Amino acid sequence: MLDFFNNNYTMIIVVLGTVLLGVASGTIGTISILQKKALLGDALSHATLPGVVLAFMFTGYKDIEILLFGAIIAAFVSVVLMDVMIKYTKVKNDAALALVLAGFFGLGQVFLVSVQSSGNASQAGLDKFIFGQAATILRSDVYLLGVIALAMVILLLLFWKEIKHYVFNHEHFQTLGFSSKIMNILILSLIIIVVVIGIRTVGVILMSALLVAPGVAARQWTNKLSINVFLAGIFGLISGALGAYISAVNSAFPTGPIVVVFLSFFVVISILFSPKRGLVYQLIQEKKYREKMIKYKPLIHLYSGNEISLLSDDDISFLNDQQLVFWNDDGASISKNGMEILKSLLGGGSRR
Amino acid sequence: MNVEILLVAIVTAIACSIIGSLLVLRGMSMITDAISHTVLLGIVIVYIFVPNLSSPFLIMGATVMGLITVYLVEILVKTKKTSSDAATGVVFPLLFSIAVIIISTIFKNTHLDVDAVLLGKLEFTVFERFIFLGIDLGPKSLFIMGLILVLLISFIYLLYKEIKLVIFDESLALALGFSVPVIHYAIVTGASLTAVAAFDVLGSILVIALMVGPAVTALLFTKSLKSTIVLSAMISGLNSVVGYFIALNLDLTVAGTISSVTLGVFLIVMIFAPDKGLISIVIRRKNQNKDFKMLALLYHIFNHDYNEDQMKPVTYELLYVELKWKESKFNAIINKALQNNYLMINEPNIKLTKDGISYLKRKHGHYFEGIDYEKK
Repeated sequence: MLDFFNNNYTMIIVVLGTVLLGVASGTIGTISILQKKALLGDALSHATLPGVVLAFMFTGYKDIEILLFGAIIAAFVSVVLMDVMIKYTKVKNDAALALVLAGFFGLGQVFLVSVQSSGNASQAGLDKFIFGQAATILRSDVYLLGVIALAMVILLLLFWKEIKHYVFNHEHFQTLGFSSKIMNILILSLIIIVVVIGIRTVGVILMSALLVAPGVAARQWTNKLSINVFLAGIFGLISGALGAYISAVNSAFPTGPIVVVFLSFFVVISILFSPKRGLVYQLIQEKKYREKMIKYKPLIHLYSGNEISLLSDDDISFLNDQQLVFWNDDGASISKNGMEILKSLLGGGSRR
Repeated sequence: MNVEILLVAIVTAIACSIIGSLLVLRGMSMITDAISHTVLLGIVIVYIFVPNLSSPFLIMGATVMGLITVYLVEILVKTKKTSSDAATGVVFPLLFSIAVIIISTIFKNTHLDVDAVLLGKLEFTVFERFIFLGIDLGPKSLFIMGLILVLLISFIYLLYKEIKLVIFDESLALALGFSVPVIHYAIVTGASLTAVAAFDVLGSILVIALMVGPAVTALLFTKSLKSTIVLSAMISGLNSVVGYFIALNLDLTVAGTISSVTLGVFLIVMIFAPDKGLISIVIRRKNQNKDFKMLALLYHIFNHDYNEDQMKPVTYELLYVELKWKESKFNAIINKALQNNYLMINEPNIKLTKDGISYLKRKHGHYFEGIDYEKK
């Protein structure tokens, strides 16, 4: 066992890092989905590029802390810009996202290319920030990710009630005297930190999937926020572990895309097969309902005020056999049993 | 300076901006993000069967993949399991991931690499020439983008009425018997085709800036579809010229500079635009705030002076306590009211003057109907 660990030291570090990232992005992503800001992470991850390159240009160092600091600043600037656009002009939410995403990325690319052509040899590897490379995860990164994941869990637990209020009923949250500004900054900061850490592992483009997919998958299984967040974390964990493992075993498979494929697999499975909300369950329910409608057609016929004499003999004997009607002087009336069945039919079955 | 590069840039930018204004108005800005990424999968899949990077099938395959992307997102939304942005956020990374996985496993040794796709290579497009009957007619991408531009313009020209209706009032379009899905998917096809062709030039992410940026900028000025399209085309042309010359002088990458300029121009317009710009909005809100404060002050005193229930004149201190404004603001407003002769100080009380009442009347005349304030 010890031998295995020694031989696969890099692999374990990579898997551990990806797992922690999956957990962190799954949990905070759920909250951003429920806030209807699912694509914010996408925009933020693209917008970090100029920050990363500028941080390198100013300091000349490629240390991860410096680059991350640049990325965080850039992400914050982009958020403020989008906020101003949406608040003060008539620019719609999605247009603001798209413009900031691509504009910042273009700016970053300009800086990147000019750094690359400046002949500064130490810049090599800066573009890894765009595509990500899980294999470059170091032990220090895992510590960082671990601290962030832990901090996130603690923050979530500490402010759970407030976050819940904030997400589901913004106005109520404010009337209770909480500052939605501070809450907004708290959630945003968490998203930004996760995004910034994540892009180095899975790349700019796939970061959005890491944030969105676990939440979407988890949402299908529950209506409770706590379980939703927890499940999303689990989905992120499993996908991260599987993705990192596969790409560590076979280097032809890039980590990010494999993780995303696993996450999407969870989404598809959840949408199809989750109990109650799942498509398959709903289809079965609908089919059952339709069959029931056909079966109890004579009863419905009677209920809508038609004469029992209009029914065929088969139908009448069916009604009698099932004790759905009782006979009196005026003819047939619907029994208590029959009324109950009618009630369930009129309820509409399980409709979406 | 290379005129051909500039021309390619301008034509590409204009084509992007035209289809972009339709997408922005239809609330599909982030769909450009999705499409521009997933076309890679289309290219990769076609490349498996036709290993030729200049084959027209690549463009067709990629365009179809753009349509499939939008369709998949719509299916997900239709199941009502997710919102449309979450669905977008699930679908396009998946398709993109599949493409990357295929590239890194099957096409390890070909020059179909992700870098080129994401970042574009505007400077190199001029090396691929369009040669017809042995005559060199110019860069190939110029012809492709030109063709797409013509297609887009004729599409919009021919179906202008329908497009307008679908964008602004889908239910009316349905009620009038237009096929909304046909127009919708026609727009998506246009976006997909443009993205595919442009992404050779600009790279998949910068396409988004050129589609969304000019349209959003134009919308700060315009109020009609026609003027939005025309203005955004003009803005995008201007952006690409400015971007090109900045890139030339500072030795930067052209595509990146153009998209940075697009964002920059939007920000400048957003700040300085008359009427809808940030500065004029802030000034307007400030003035409104001042006006409102003044009205509130005068009404308050008016109620003290003339209201039947509380005919008690108000003192300076009482006013301060009742209004609960910040002291500096309170003093500023009082001073302004005194300057304008709306108030008079009748120690220890503060009273409205005739001017003050007529100011109130001028602002909210209807409120004073039936109040006989003259008798007091």
